[in-house]
Amino acid sequence: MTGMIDASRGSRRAFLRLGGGAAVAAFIASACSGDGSDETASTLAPPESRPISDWPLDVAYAQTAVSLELAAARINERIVASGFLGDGSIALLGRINANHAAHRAVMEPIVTDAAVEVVDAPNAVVLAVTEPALSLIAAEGDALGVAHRLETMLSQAYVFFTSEFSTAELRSRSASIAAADNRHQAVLATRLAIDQFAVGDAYVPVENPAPSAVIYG
Amino acid sequence: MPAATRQDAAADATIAAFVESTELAMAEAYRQLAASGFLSDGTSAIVERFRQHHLAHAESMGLVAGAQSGGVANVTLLAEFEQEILAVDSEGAAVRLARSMESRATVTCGAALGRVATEPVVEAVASVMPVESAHAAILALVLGLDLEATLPDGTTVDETAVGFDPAVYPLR
Repeated sequence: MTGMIDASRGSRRAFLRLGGGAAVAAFIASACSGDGSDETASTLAPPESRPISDWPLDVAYAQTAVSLELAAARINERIVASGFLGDGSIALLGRINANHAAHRAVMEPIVTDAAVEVVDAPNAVVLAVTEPALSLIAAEGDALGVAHRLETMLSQAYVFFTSEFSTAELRSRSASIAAADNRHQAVLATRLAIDQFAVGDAYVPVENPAPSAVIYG
Repeated sequence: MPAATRQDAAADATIAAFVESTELAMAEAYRQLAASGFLSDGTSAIVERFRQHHLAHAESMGLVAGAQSGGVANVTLLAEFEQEILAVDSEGAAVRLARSMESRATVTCGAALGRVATEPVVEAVASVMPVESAHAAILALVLGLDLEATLPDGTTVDETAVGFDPAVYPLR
């Protein structure tokens, strides 16, 4: 995808991100550049069918999500290849990567339906910021720690996407993936703590998890 | 997100108030599970932490529900939980019940996100849903379930879980 994103139809918050100097996370830059009665009685019924999206930011977020899934798969493969994982951890990362493949399949149609550039490369920013930690892996705990931080970031990224997508259908898709990734981080955290169950915090933040160093604008 | 309408805001507040009532019912159910006498110290600690999370979730839902916030547990849902708690006769049974509650809560949040349109409500539900999903995963670990049960298919939370339906558990 090339060119400027028109934020004029977006939320105030999204507009400020784009126009206020901080701009969209480099996750998105990376993905787009190719680098990488009873009133409640029916309130939870499915909404009527509608087009997935005609909002440009939705496509940018979906492209970013696909690139994140590709990066997660690549990073987890690197972690397994480090040779420090026991069989249980290898099986766990295998399961997690199977989930990431499923997540990619959920997000890709948003991109293909929009007839824009299909993302087929891992998110270059995530690969770059993860590389130092990957190169320092010297024990199983190090390896699982990288995987845990990755899943924590992914869960928060999808919560962010959920808060930004323009349609309820897309928000549901994104939230389901955020939930799955948070399960991943919880299981990894528990495994890291060894015989202690990692309970975590009450909320996953809605802010973009990209560190300031990878924000452009 | 596109701007929401005033009608959206009213409908979303109703949904937030409903979710608030379910969170309070879950918090109370956890309190009763902890008092059941079947939990080990380790499991009791997890249950207490989850109870606190649900109280926090209820508070955030109450905030975005505004004037529609009831601040009380969903009566019908809590009555159902209490019947289930009466049948608990072991730690495993207690944890299975808790896992079921968490899975249902996660599905409920997903359904809510399929309806709401206003940014504060979307954000509140979106930030809570993954935590409830993680609770379910941790409880699966406590139960010693396998990877497939602990980390079900990546596109669904739990195919067997049924969300809390306002038609079944009316708000007031």
